Order: sequence, then C-alpha cells, then structure tokens
Amino acid sequence: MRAVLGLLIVVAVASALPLTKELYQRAWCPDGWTVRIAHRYGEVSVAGKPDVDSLEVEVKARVDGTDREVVRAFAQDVGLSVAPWAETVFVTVLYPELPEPTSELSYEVDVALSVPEATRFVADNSFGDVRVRGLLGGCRVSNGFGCIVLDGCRDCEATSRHGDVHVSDNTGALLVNNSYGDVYLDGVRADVQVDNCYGNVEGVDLEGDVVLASVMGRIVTRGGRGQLLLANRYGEVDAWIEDSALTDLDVVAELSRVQLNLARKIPFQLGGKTFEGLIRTGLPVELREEGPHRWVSGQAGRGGPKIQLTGSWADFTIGPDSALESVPARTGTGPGNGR
Amino acid sequence: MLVAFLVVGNPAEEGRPLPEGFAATAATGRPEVTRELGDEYDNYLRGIDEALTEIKRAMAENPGNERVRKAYYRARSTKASALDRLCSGGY
Repeated sequence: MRAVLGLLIVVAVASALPLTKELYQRAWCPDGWTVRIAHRYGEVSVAGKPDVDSLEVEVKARVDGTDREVVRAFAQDVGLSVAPWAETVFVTVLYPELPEPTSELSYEVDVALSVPEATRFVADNSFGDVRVRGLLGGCRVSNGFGCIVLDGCRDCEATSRHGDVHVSDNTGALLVNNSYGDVYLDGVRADVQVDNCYGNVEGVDLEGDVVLASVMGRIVTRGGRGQLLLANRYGEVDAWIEDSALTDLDVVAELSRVQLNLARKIPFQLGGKTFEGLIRTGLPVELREEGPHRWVSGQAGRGGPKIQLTGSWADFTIGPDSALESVPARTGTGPGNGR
Repeated sequence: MLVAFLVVGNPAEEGRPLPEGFAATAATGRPEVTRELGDEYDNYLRGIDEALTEIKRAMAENPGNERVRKAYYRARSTKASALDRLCSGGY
C-alpha cells in the first residue's frame, strides 16, 4: 500500500502544473556594445561582470493552465533569440501564437542576463520587475507595472509608470521619470533629476547636483552634499539637513507644506518668501510680512548651506523640531494655510 | 509633466534653473489654484483609466497571470479611493 501511495505521489509531482522550461544562450558581446531586451510578463535581471567579453542569458518560463496539453504545447514552443546586429545584441523571448486566447492559460518568463560591466543596457518591461546591478556602461530602463531596481550602476535613466523605482550607489547621471509609483534614492552620487507625478520621492545621502520635482507626492530628503533643489506642487516636502557639506538647498512649493529640519550647530544662510502662506520657525532669523507676502532671512555661523525657500499658497516650518514659533496667521488665506 | 508652477520669485531668479517643465509665472488667486488642482486630479484619474485599459488588454492575452490580475485589482482600488476622495472634497 505504501509503495502504491509513494508511486502516486511521484506521478502527481511529475505531472504537476505549472510546467517550467529553462533556456540558456551565450553570445559574444565586448565592452561598449549595447544589449536590448523588450519583455512583457516576468522579471528581467542583469548583472555587470568585469573581465568578460560575452553575455549569458538564462530564461525560465512557467506556463500554467487547466488543459495540460495546451500548457505543454505552449511551454514547448517558448524560445529564446540572441541576435547581434550593429554592435547591439537583441535578446528576445519567443512565444508561440495561440490559435485563440484561452482564459485558462497563464505564462510568465524570467530572464537573467550576465553581461560585461561596460555594456550599455536598454530594457522595456510591462508586468515584472527590472533589476540592474553593477553596470557601468549606462542603462535605460522603462517599466509599466513592475519595479525598477538599479544598484551600483553608472549613468542611468529609469521611466516607471505604475511601479516603484529604487536606486542605490549610483554614479554618473541619473534621470528618473515616475508617474504613479514611489522613488527611493540611497547613496546616489551624481547629477540627479527626478520628475515625479503622483508617488512619493525619498532621497538619502544624495551627493551632487540633485533636482527632485514632484506634482502630488511627498518629497523626503535626509543628509546630502552638493546642490539640492526640491520642487513640489501639491505634495509635502520634508528635508533634514544634517551635514554642512550641503552647499545649496532650494525649495519651491505650491499649495504645499514644507518642513525643513536643520541639525543644531550647522551653520546656514537662509532666505525665503511665500505668498498666501505661513512661515514658522524657532530659529533666530528675521520674519517679515506685508499683505499676503511673507519673508524670512538670516544666518547662523559661517558658511554652511545656502537655503532659499520659495512658496505660493505654501506653509514653511523651519528649524529644529521643537520650540517653533509662528508668525500670526492671516485670516481668509488659501488652502495652503487651511490644511 | 505640464506644470505651470505658480511662484512668487523662484530659484531661477537666484541663478538656479528650475527643472524642465516648471515655468515660473505670476502668482494667481485661489480659484485658479483650486481649478488647477482639480485639473491635476483629472489627469490622475485619466492615467488610471489608461492603465486599466492596458491591463485589460494584457488580461485578454495572458488571463491567468497573477501579476496582471494584481495590477488590475490595484488600479481598480486606486481609482475607487481617488473617486472617493474627490467626491468627498478631500483633495
């Protein structure tokens, strides 16, 4: 009886769905060439390797459904094409054409690439993450409904519509265009431009010439060196300045709330104005108001970051977190004050 | 990103260029600001509708795919929340 049961279990496992199919290819791809992939369902990951002159592609396809024959036929015909042309290697997963779409079939393909680290990488995905690690030749990644993760790369461009973007230890230029997901930047050293619409942007230890622009999401930055411009239209801005190596901080806000936190003992030069908004601070700086306009100016110590605040229907709170004083609020002001 | 950025003074005046797409204009009144925020909400909802259309195409192509289904439920939920906020005047 036990032997029969054991046999049944083995058979069940052997015929279990989903079916997986693995493919592998290797192709010559010297430094400086471009690798391109357009993908749709599943993850794409790429790792840059030093001292190699070829790329390796591993593909894992999973096909599931209720009709085992359909699943088997589909999985069998999934293929991989690696085609070099004009110093570009095109990596394409080939799918069989279904005679007619069946509601019971599902498939997903994960692609893992290993390429020379000086390769340029271009990827477009729809439903799955794209992960890039250690690529120094530049990369351009766009994604629809998955995350984009860039780690230890140089000169990157990421366009995300409905997924998050994570960038860490990036050097060179970084351009992020984000619509609905969130953007996380950590240890990015370069010229950074983030154009964000409806998600949040969080930056930690940014260094260089950094521009974070958003429409409705929240912008949060902590630490940082170099020049930082934070521009937000309807979302909040929270900035923590912990290092006097930050040379410039510009904050532009409309219909927003801005919280600027300065670590004690950090010297600074502060200037700012807002229209139809409040400026509150516990710092020993000058506050002026005339009609709907308010100004703040002052400095502490020598040197330090030059901070410029500009607002329209926006409230600014500046200083150490506690002991904040407030300029008397105007009556009948805009929604920036009412929130 | 079409953003008519309403600022009184801006970093550009201080010598720092604004991000591309940000245009410094004179400050406007509250009705204009509120209307622009409403327009932005329209854009937000339009983007979700476009996403739903794209996801439905993917569902026809790959109906059992879990990522596609999750994207569909998430987009539906996001749209419902946004409409709820909009109807309750919470934006």
